[in-house]
Formats: sequence, C-alpha cells, structure tokens
Amino acid sequence: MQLSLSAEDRALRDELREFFTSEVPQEIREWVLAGGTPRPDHVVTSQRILNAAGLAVPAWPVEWGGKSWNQWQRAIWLAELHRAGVPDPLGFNATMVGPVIATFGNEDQKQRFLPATANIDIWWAQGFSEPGAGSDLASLRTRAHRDGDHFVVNGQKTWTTLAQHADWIFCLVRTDPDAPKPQRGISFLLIDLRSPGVTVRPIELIDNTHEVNDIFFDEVRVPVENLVGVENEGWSYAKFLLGNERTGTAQLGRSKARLARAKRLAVEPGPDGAVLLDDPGFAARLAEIENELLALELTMLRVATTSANGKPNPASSVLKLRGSELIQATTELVLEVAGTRAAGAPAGAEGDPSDWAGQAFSTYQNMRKVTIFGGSSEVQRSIISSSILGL
Amino acid sequence: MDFILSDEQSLLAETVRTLYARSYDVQGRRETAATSPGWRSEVWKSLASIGVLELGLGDPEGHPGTYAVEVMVVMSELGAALAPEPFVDAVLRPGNLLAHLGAREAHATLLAQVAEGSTLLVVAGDDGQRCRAWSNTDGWQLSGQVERVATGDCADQFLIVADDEEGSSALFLVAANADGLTRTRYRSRDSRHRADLVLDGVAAKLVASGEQVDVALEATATQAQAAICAEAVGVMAAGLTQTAEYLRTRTQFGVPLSKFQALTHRAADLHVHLELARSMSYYAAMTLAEGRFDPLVAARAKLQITSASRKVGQEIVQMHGGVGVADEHPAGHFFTRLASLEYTYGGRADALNTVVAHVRDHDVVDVY
Repeated sequence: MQLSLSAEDRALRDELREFFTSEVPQEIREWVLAGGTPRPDHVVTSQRILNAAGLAVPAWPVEWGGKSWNQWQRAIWLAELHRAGVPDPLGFNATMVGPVIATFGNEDQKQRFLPATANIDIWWAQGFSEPGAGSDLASLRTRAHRDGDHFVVNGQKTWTTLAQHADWIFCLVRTDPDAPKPQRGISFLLIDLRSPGVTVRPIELIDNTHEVNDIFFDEVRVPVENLVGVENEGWSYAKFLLGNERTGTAQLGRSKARLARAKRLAVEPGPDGAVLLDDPGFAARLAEIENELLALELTMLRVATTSANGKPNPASSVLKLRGSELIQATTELVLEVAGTRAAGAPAGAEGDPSDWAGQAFSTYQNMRKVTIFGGSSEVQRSIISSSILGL
Repeated sequence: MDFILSDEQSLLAETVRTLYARSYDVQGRRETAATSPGWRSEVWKSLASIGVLELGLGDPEGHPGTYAVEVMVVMSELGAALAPEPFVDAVLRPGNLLAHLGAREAHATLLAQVAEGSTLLVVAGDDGQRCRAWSNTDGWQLSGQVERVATGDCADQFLIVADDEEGSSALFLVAANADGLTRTRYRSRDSRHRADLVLDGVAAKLVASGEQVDVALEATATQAQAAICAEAVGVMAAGLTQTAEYLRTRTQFGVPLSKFQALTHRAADLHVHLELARSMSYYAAMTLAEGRFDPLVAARAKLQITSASRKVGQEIVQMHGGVGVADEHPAGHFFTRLASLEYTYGGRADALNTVVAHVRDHDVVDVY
C-alpha cells in the first residue's frame, strides 16, 4: 500500500500537465476555469487536439485509440485534464457509446463509428429517458419493429442533452413488447438524426439555458446494420454503459477547481470591503468541503469502478452519490461568495463566465440536475443498500 | 500509488480477528469491562505471542512510521471487535515517543518487556496536563496532577511529560509504585479504566528534554490520531454490518425492516460515510508509512472520521430501536466507543481548526 506516485506515474502526470496546458487553447481553458460551460466549438476543438495526440479516449481498447493504462494512470489523465480546464471529451462519445460499440459491436460498426466517434466527427446524443421512463428506464416505450431490412422507430426520447448539436443518437428501443420482463425486450440502436421523421425540440431549463431536448421519432427507418449486438439484449449493454456513465458524473476534478476558484474569489474584498475567507464560518465550510473532496478522491482511487462482466460495480454508486452532492456543495459555496450580486445580475449569454457572480446563480440552478440524472441519488441509495449491504 | 494490502497484512488482520472471535462475546466484554483493569491479560499475552505488541513498537531499523499500515490493519480489527486491550496507550504511544526521541536503544530492556506483554508502559501529560520538574542532588523530581490518564490504572511505568525549571519540555520515566505518586483508579463513562495521578516530589529518570521532546510529541500525536481513526473505521464497519443484519432479520408489521426504504436508504448513507472515512484512514497510514508525521494529514483524517462516526454511531442505535439503548445488546457499544474516540486526542473542532488554519496554503486541495 503506497501513497506516492511511482517515478513512471509522476513522469506521466508531468507530461500530461505540460500537454494540456500548452496544446489546448488558453481561451478555452480560461473559460472553463472561470466557471464557464464549454461551448460546442470548445468541445470539438479540444477533443480533436486530444485525439490527434491519442489522448481523447484512453479507456478504449488500444486498437481503437485507447491506452494500456491502469486505473490510476487514467485517474491522473482525468485529474490533469480537469486541473487545466480542458473540456471533457464528449461523454456520450467517449465513455458511453464508444465503449459499447467497442465491446458489443461487430467489426463493421467498429470501423464505421469508432474513429469518427473518438474524433467527434460524429457528435452522439443519448436516447434513453422518456417522459414515462426516467428512473424506471426499463419501462421505455419507444418502439422499433422490423420491416424488411430496416427497423421502423416510433416514440419519444426526452432530456436528450445537447441533441441540438448532435449528428447521431444511440437509442434504447423496445423490439419485443411481449417479452416476459420489460428488460428482455429492449435493443440498442444507432440512429442518424438527419433521418426523415426525426424532430428535435428544445426544453428550457430553470437557468434559461437550452441544454436538453425532446426527440420525436415518427416512422423513422433505421437500417438493421445499426443494431448493436443481439436484438432484445440491449438492456445488458445499457447496464454496462450506465456503470461507466456513473463514474464520470462525479466530476471530482471540476469540483476541486471550482472550490479553488471560490477560495481565490473569497480572498478578494467583497462589495462591503470584507474578505470572506477571514470569516471563520465561511473558512470552516470551505475547509470541510475541501476535506470531503479529498476523501472522495482517495475513494475513487481506492475502488475499482469500471464495469466488469457487463455489470456496473456498485461502488460506482458511492462515487456518483457523493460526487454529485459535492458538486452541488461547491456551487453553493461560489454562490455564497457572490452573495447579493448573484440573483439580481442581468441574464447573460449561456454558460458565459464573464459575470462570475451572475453565472454563480445560474450554475447553482443548473447543477440541481446532478443528483437527478445518471441515476438519481435515490436510485443510487437503492443500489448501495441492495447490492452492497444486502438489504 | 496503490491501496492493496499485502498478503502479510491481510493475514495479520485475520489473525487478530480470529483471536478476538475466540476471546470475547458480547456478554464477556461487558463482564470484563465491569472489572478492573477492564481487559484480559491472557488476550494481551496472545497479542504479544503473535508479535502484535512488538509490531506496535515500530521498526527498530526504520523510521517510526514504517509499520503504520500494519498498525492501521490491527487497529481496524481491534475496533471491529470493540477490543478493550490498551494497544494504543500501552504500546503505540510510548513506543513511538521513544522512537522519535532516538531513545529505543537506551530503553531496550524496557521495550522488550513491553513487547512480551510483561510491562505496561503508559504516557501521561501529553495532553497539556504538565507536571513540574526540578533537579537537585537527589536527581529529578516531579510534582503535579494528571487526570483521566487512559490505562493509567494498570500501568507499571509512566512516561510523564513535564516542564522543567526553564519552562522547556522534558520527558521522564517514573515507576507507577514510586513514593509520592498517588493513583486513583476508576471506571470511566465510556466503560474504560483510567486513573487520576497526583505526584508529590516523585523521583524520576530523565529520558529527554528540550525542543526534541516537543517535536517527538507532535509526531507521536499524528500516529496516535491515525491509530484511533483506524479503530473508529473498524467500529463503524462492524456496527454497520450488524445493523444491516438487524434490518434483514428483525420483523415488524409482518415484514423485515429492510422492506422500509427509509431505513435502507439511511443505511446506504452510512455506507458512504464509512467508505470516505476508510479512505482517509488509509491516507493517514500511508503518509506515516512514508515517514511524514504531518499534523495536517492527521487532522484531515480525524475531521472526516468524526463526520462519519457521529452520524454512523447515532444511526446504529436508532435503527436498532429499543435494543440500541440496552447495554445487553452490542449496538449501543459501537455508539459509545465512537463517541469516546471522537474526543480522544482532540475533538472535531480541534481537527477542523487545524485544517482551516492551512486553507490558504494551497490553491487546489490535493492528495500530495
């Protein structure tokens, strides 16, 4: 049992730190570190720079652009990426559909999709949730019936993040409505969003941003070649995907960076001239959250969380549950620093950090989602209590 | 970086676990706690014979933290067993203190007796309750009061911290039965056994004096803190396991309690607390094993552990219902031990003050 990085890992860390801070444009990184939401052009530019250096999809099989790193080396990559303010490679591409196709897809699908996915030549959206199927995802009703060499898709997906920028969507669809259990009648289908019959409609969130969408499928024809794996076995691929999604949503490095920013802001005199970090109560709250982040980081490093044997590791539920709570705690702390300057600030461009105090309010509103998506906190507690505690 | 216990460390855990499974049941612990000294000499001798006491004295060839991970492993098992044996008070603290002072060799015979379980050597006065020390032609003498000395009731020898006539720190070796030393033994609220000491011109042997004593005390404190953090993790783990078992087996309204999501969700939260606390306990041990005796690391661990232990202890009782407050049932004992550990070597507020004092030292908080 050893805390310090090996010389090899220290060298990797230094190499990645150098790369991220010199190769990804400063304008993008400053935007992110100032609390901005990466714009689509930021996401694409950054991911392509990483991909050119073979650093966009390290968890993928090596033959498709991955690295033969262990989990601690992948953790170093993620920590340095976050520390430098580099936007995450698009999660839908890098940690969701990419690994599913790499693991369960056929050779044609891998050739056709994986390089383009790594390079974000294809921007993927996630077609899972429906109005009637949120936490109870298996009850989904979007139907795909077979007609010759196509599936015909009818239904609706919702909460589809950034679908307005997406080219393709990976969908869970019901291919056997008569299956004895709902999980056994679901397939994993890849759909071109330019197909006739697809309509993308924005949903405005409480922070007045356009982040998520409804997607309507009206007699959309999808070639059978776009079925991933075996028909009616899509639920097992979904569980594999959800396990990976769960780990990514802890966003630990972002929380640490946000808290560091709160601290930098809190040593500046506020509008009343007072330095908030001198307030013992505030300093204590900040120090406590820092300590919790440290504890979570160590837990992430300690616990193997990758999907193994196609099943999510229940420990990933611990990280998602606590990670999401800490994301929210950091947004509350930045808002506390902003104080009365926040709610009353003029509405700005989406995700623009230039008015940090106003943006603190919008971020606080927006991040209420993190304990809800990716498996709500309630769902994570149920998983922990049943899978880990045997209750 | 890795968090994997070696085979030897895993075996050590199992050995201690087995010893305690053999030695105590719930009723046995209560009976033992009710009588002086509140623990069993045959268990102490077993710990000696399996080499645990010697391990706790540290590696004579390495730095004082060399066996910190092994100590963590032992302490977690002692915690899980609610073991009353005074491993921290009568081995870790005195052994580490002498090691940090470079005084192992000078006290080799004494330490050998500690390792074989035949002598109980206990530190007193390292919590700020300092005696006065002066020297004359008869040698060194101590006067003063030290209250609530853990394991002071059965100590054979004391390492007593005092201020000398110049106001410097000094460490002395004193026989427990020395003339002028009055010892009042008692059972404390947390069902351990302690003593109040009154010293009136007690003859003492100087071990070390000056700044080196302060440095050694601070370093030893980091090790003691890490040890009780590991113990608390063990208590929480065992308490949570018992609580889950209770939820699975206790039925009311025709169903096991585990049917009620309010309870299972709260149990899930306890598991999260436990895992985060465990991580910080590992962090403290791993830092010590690298030879870093950092009060900030110890404080961070204590802060996380106390966040968890208060919540977990209270919930263990709550989820057991009435039996949680009945002494006959083990549930409440986990709670009591956690409440006691929370205030050992400073409480949560002390840990928080230390962490807050360092909040400007760094931009992003990091493991390193």
